[in-house]
Amino acid sequence: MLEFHSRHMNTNISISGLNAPDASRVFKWMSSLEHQFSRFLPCSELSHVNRSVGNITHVSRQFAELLYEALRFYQETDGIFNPFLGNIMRKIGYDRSFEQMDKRNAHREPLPLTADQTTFTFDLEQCSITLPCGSALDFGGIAKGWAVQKAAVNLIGQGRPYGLINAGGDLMCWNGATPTEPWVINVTHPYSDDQTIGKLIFHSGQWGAATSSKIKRSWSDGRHRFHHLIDPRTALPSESDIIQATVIGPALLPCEIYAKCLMIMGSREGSKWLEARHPDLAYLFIDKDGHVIVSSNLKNLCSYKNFPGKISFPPNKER
Amino acid sequence: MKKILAPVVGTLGAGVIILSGMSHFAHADNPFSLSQSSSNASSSSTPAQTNSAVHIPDVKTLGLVAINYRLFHLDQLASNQIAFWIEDEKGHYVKTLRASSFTAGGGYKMRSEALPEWRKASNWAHASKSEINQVKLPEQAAGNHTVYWDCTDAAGKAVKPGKYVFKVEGNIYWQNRVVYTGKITIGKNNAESTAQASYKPAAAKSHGKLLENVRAEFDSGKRIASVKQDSTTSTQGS
Repeated sequence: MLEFHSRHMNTNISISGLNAPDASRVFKWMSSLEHQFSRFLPCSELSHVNRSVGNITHVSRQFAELLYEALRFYQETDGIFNPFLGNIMRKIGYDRSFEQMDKRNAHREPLPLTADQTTFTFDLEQCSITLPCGSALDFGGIAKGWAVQKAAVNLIGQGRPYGLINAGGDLMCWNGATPTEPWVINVTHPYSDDQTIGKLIFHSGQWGAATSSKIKRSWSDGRHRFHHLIDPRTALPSESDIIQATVIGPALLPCEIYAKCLMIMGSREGSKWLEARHPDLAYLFIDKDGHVIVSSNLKNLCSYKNFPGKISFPPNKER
Repeated sequence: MKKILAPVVGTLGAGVIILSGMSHFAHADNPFSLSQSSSNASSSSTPAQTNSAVHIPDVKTLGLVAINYRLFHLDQLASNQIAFWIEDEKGHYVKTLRASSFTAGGGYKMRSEALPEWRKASNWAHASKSEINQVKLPEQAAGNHTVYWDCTDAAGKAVKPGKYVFKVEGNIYWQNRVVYTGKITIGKNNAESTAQASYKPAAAKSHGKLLENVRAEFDSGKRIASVKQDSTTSTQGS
């Protein structure tokens, strides 16, 4: 099985089951989106929009399409998924690629209440938006999954019999690795990408899976612990009891969105909330004590094996 | 015009979202296509840049080398790290096939005893992120496994026919290692070869068995697309 690897959107992208020209085109697509939707590139379209608060700003159709998806999930999740957190991310220090952050100068004070006082307008016909003052868009929680899903759906539509596109753990696969072999996806340990806590096995059909974690992109200013998953109810990094959540479903984008929501809402509230809203999605998460919780419907979506009831951490790094 | 009172639960975002032109937008929500995305990008206010580095040539190679091995799990510190690489007959580095995620991903900075021979041969300290991601081998269960060499070099170009050396290094316990070395001829004919173990230092053998039965089989004309490799695909927190 051919595998192709490249790095875009500050993420490792791997592709399996496709030929070289298809893989090249997917990488090129991901690269172009990075230059359009990155918060960290001053010349990106997103940066241009965020600099134009208070003014009517025309955007590309592609920008409008992603924004529409973001607003749809903003409404669908009652604002738990929130694309308006650009300024919060900047304030906690996440204003450049994670590796380059000034982690010692993060701030933890919540921003003042603004939501009920602000109006965001989006003219779909004109492809124009007006971002209220004090706001900044951030597609960090949606662009990667959207990009992978669109690439996969397009390739499926073009008749590619099977394939897998994985962008840093947000992935879509379809129809098994070969006609007789399933796709096997390792779910990694929250503290170590080297260790696997279990496997998801996908046979026929089209599937998405996304994992969100408080551990990977976390940092400390010496007093507080920060991570990139902001709870919009507090404007602070989420303090829920889940440290890693994986959501599985027929498409990737809802998985990416709801994995983050699950992380923010926590084990008790979040799992019931997700089951009620999206019975088509399954999940597994790890709580702060290491318990591995698997939703009862996961077996309806895929096979899985090796998941223990509890994992230990921090793992023994001296293996 | 559609006005949405956004059901925001907390402090941030927009309390009211006003959408207009909804019916027209349905036509803009086109399925992904590369030609369309390219034209969309070029018509945007910030044209997308192309990246020549993403071009992947479709390489025709001599065949496929399967390196089979039996792996044991050692329940002790600083062990279970393995790397597979290819050198030419003169000892020049050709390509890394797989290396344990911990070491390949930079773990050697914390543990200098990790796979020193492979790191020196491959000059791994200067490997790119893409190279690292390409070879990272997650922890494998004990048992029989196979890694493949598609007869290309580190740059992805097909190598010439001839004799090549396949090497496997494993950390048994801290600096105690085993290195398997074998030589195989690739060309028009199929071939096979069994690698020989060398323990470093010689007393390393007393610390346990990590690898055995390392052998390579060359299948002339076979393409890597035709074989199933151990899964290295993971979903991890981002």
